[in-house]
Order: sequence, then structure tokens, then C-alpha cells
Amino acid sequence: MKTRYFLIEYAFAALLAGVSCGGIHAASDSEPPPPPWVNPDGSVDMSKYPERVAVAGPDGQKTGGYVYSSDDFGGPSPQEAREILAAGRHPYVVVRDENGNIIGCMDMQGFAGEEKLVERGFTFRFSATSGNVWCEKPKSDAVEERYGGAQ
Amino acid sequence: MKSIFRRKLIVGVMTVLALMAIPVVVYAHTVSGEGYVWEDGNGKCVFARSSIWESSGDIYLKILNNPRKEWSFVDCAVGWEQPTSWIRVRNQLYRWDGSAWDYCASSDWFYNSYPTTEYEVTSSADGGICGAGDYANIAGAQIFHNYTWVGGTKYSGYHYFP
Repeated sequence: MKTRYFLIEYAFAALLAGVSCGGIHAASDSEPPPPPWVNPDGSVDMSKYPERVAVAGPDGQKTGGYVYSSDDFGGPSPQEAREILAAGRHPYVVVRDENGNIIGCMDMQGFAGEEKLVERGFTFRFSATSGNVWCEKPKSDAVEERYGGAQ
Repeated sequence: MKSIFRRKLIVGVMTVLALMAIPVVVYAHTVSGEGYVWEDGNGKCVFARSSIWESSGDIYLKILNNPRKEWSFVDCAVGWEQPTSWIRVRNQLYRWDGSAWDYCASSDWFYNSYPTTEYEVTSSADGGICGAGDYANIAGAQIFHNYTWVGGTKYSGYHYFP
């Protein structure tokens, strides 16, 4: 009898878990496939990464901006990274239009964390600005050299 | 009779507790993808776990580069200490627009600030930062090895945010 009750309880818990997670997915219009540059095992094949990917705005609509893979996937060496961090600089992600002109940056959104994490991360979101476009913070001469200034 | 009543009471209490737990289950729903992102063929590797979940209405992303020591099955990375700034990770948030994955938000590259064998960064963003929909974390995990960055990127799977 105890075993039977355990089975009932287990099935009930499983049903609840299914309802809760299924409810999440049911809220979506259709289940999205993995991005085309993701292999079936979840690893990423950067050779399949598009030249550019559209940037979504706060309303979910496309902003008209793109992140170009040629801008964003290199990154500095450890020595350069130490210098950047020592200077308190945080390079932003550059956003360009379909012709390759800089039209904005992924601006810093904020951060939050939890006690157990090792490091807290910052997130960046799209920020279109007219006039001067600064893609690094704080402003420095290196900014213009790296990403361009007035448009 | 007393025994039946007791069982019914237990089931009833469990039902109430379980129903109360539904929101907890929803908010604690974490989707993760993990695996090797680089192997040198000589017993060394980089192992990454990319996660996405919701907490208090915010989107959380986490990338773990190299395993915790108790993950003994990943023996090719355990104990392989990297100097300061030789490990870097980044979270990238993508949103499914119904036909393609759009770039929604990103963290910067984060570098380990002390010698370590593992490195973990959690990023967060306001819930619905790019509107309601399915989101995924595509997180990069690399180490600096033989004067170049090696490693890879891992897909978390997707998670719906209202």
C-alpha cells in the first residue's frame, strides 16, 4: 500500500512539473529550433555563424541594427584584457546598419547577482544614438580609434 | 476509518503544498546545455555549461568555464589552473522572433581575476528585455592556450519569458 501511495505521489509531482514547464512552452507561438549555427549536441560552429544578426529592441521588434560577427568575436589577449580592466573600460558591442555604418551600441543595462556566483556580469542592450557614437566607456582617445566617433 | 481520514488529509495537504509550489517551479525553471568546447587530444579540455532561467521577473544567464572539482567525469579539465586573465566567458542573450534568432543583449567578456581552474559568471537583465518570447543563452568559454584563445560556445536551450 505504501508503494502504491508513493507511486501516486510521484505521478502527481511529475504531472505538476509537466504542467508548470509545459505551461511555459505553451505560451510560445511555436517551439523555436536551435540557431542554425548550433550543432545538435549544443555546441556552436562559428563557421556557420551569419555575417550579421539582427538586433531586437525592447518591444521585440527589429531595430534595423545588426551585430556583425567581424566586430564581436575576437577580443583582446590576456595582456590587453588586463590593461582594459585596469583602465576601468568596458568595450561595448557595436551595432551597425545593413551597410556597415555604426548606428549604436549595446548599452550597459545593469547587473545583478546572487551570493554564490563567482563574478557578477553586466548585460548590454541596444542603444541607438544620433550624433556621436561611443562604444566604449568611459570615453577615451582609444574609443574613436577603435570604433569611430561622430557619424 | 481513522487511517483513511489520515491518508486523505495527507493527500490534501500535499495537494495544497504542490499547488503552492507551482510558481516556485516556474521561476526556478532552468535550461542548460553543457559539454566539451575544446579538447587538445592530449588529455586537456575546456568544458562549459550555459544556462538561462528566470528569477523575480529577471532573466539570468550563466556560463561556467571548466568544471567544479566534484565533476570528476571531466578529468581533462580538473585541476588545470589558469593564470589571471587566461579564462574568459561571455553570455549572449538571443530572442526567437518566430522565424529567426535575434541578438537581444550581451555581456562583455569577463576574465578571471585570480588564478583558478574554473570560472563562472552570471549576467542578468530585466524580464522581457526584448519583449515576450523564447530566449536562449549562447555563451562563450575560452582559455588562452599556446598564445591563442581556444574554447567554444554553448547553447543553453530556450526558455519562455512573458
